[in-house]
Amino acid sequence: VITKTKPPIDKEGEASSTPTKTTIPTVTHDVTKNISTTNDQVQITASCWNRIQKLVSSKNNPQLYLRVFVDAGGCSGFSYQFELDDTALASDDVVFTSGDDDDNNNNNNQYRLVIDEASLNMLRGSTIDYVQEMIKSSFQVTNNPQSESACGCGSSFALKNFASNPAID
Amino acid sequence: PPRRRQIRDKDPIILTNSAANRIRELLNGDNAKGAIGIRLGVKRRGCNGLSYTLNYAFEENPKDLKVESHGLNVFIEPMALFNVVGTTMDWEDTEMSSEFTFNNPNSKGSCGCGESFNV
Repeated sequence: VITKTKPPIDKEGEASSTPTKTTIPTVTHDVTKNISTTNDQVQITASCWNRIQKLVSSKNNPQLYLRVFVDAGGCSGFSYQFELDDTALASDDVVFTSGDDDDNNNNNNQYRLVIDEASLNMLRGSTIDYVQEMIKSSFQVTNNPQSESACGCGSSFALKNFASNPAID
Repeated sequence: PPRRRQIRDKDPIILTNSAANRIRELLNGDNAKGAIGIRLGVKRRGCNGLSYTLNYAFEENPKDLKVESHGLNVFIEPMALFNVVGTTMDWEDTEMSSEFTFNNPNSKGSCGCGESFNV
């Protein structure tokens, strides 16, 4: 089992390769400024938004969002993690909102999915889905182009070009 | 033969209340029209050898073992029976995932996510 700690936030030099990054210089930042409308980075399915909507509205806490991150662990090295969170966003967080989805244009109910920059580097191009099957329903990351191989259940994966990946320091 | 009887006397699979409720819910769904129960099987897959499969059962297969529990029919495929005897089937419903879990006393090891196991 590879035990690698969560990769640190990437350095200034890599910011040029990710033009969509939103940098918030002040500590007391406005959350709305952080909202990114970059749909090309990850695909979020309608089923995923529906599940987030269901979870957030059941909690009676509009500050809640779904945080997706990559952690060390699982039988393939890295694992996808999903968490409901209501803490303040960090400066390296990238926010996706349900309004970005063309078939879900309801501005009154905007739901958020947050991925930190380091995790996003390992998720770029993949699809975040809420898969409903008879035996199991869960959030899943599918079609990750950065993944070289994955666990049978898809909850962990091995990174392509492990040594040269910009997400790894 | 007595040996065979011993196996027969043992409950091949135990359903928890939440698993039974979920199966009932599934059988009331649109996809389950005409289903008489559910069918549990195993297939070769995953990093630890075997993983469970679950399907609607629309007809009885004489080779399957029929288990009646909580007023539900669970059909166990012959290949699965050997591997699952004594397993407790539960339904765990959390925010991030809802899934059937299998507590299998025969399992010697399982995958990190619990989807696959070996016997």
